[in-house]
Amino acid sequence: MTARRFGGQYSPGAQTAAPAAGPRATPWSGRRVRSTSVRALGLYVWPTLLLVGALRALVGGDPLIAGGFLGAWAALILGAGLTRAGVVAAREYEARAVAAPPAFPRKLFGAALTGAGVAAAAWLGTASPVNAGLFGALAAALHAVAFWPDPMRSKGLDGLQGEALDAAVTKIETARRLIGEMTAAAGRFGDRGLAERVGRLAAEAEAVVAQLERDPAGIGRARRFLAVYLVGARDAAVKYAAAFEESRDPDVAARYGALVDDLSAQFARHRAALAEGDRTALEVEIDVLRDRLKLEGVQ
Amino acid sequence: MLKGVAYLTLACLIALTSCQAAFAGPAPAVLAATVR
Repeated sequence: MTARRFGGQYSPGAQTAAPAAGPRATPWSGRRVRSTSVRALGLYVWPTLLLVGALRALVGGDPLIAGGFLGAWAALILGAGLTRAGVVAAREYEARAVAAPPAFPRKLFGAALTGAGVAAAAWLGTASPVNAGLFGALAAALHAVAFWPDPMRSKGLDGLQGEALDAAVTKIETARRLIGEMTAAAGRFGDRGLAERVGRLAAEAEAVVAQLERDPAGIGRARRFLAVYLVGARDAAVKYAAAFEESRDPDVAARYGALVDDLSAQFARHRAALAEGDRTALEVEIDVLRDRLKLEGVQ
Repeated sequence: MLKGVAYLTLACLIALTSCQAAFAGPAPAVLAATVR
């Protein structure tokens, strides 16, 4: 990890040019959702007394019962882990206009494991299989209401189904991943001003992706944008960051900065052409960009 | 609201069943008898 130079609008060497028009860059541009739920975290805490029970059983010379306590605790902790992962996956799903459902229904399995853990704890506490079953079923049902089941259907892209929908979702997810990788690589320069310019570029690219989500018919037209612009922008960021880390040459950062400015301007023009459905303008933009990237030795 | 109530009930259920099992559970012999 490299140190990051502090600086801002009034720092020596700051860029004095007016900020570029277009979407505002935020520190979150191009970054993935990573959040956690306090409720899901609480699920790790509530079964702690089962460990005390296991300890007491061990001290009392009953390893089988201790194993039962540990099994109940493990089921609840595993359920908590799945629930937490499911909550994060569901938030990512909600944050997107176009998304495929999570491949594995984590929250539902979390509910089942929580039910099993509570059933085992209830059996250890009451020695009644009926009570254990009732408490287990109640816990699973409460879990399902409290955390809600996982999203099960793809959303967005009206009119697309099956493979076409999967392909569109994959393209959009790949685009977001490329933007994230570009932002991460730019962070390795340790230059705040440059990171902000790349943030603006990421915001421009995000805006194009968001436009594709709203208007899926444009995905065919934007195929080359996704294949040329984003891959090129990511490769350039990675290549220049590696060269900069090796040489610490400010000239490398300056050249990358110039490329970022060019890309930013072209992204904005591409967005306009995409919005107007102007195929010729798009082709010209892409050819210009491809030449520019070739010049940089990226493509 | 409903989700909050369900979560609080679930948290109490887990904590109370754990507490009862740890401190007021039946003797191991009784538990073993229920399995047979």
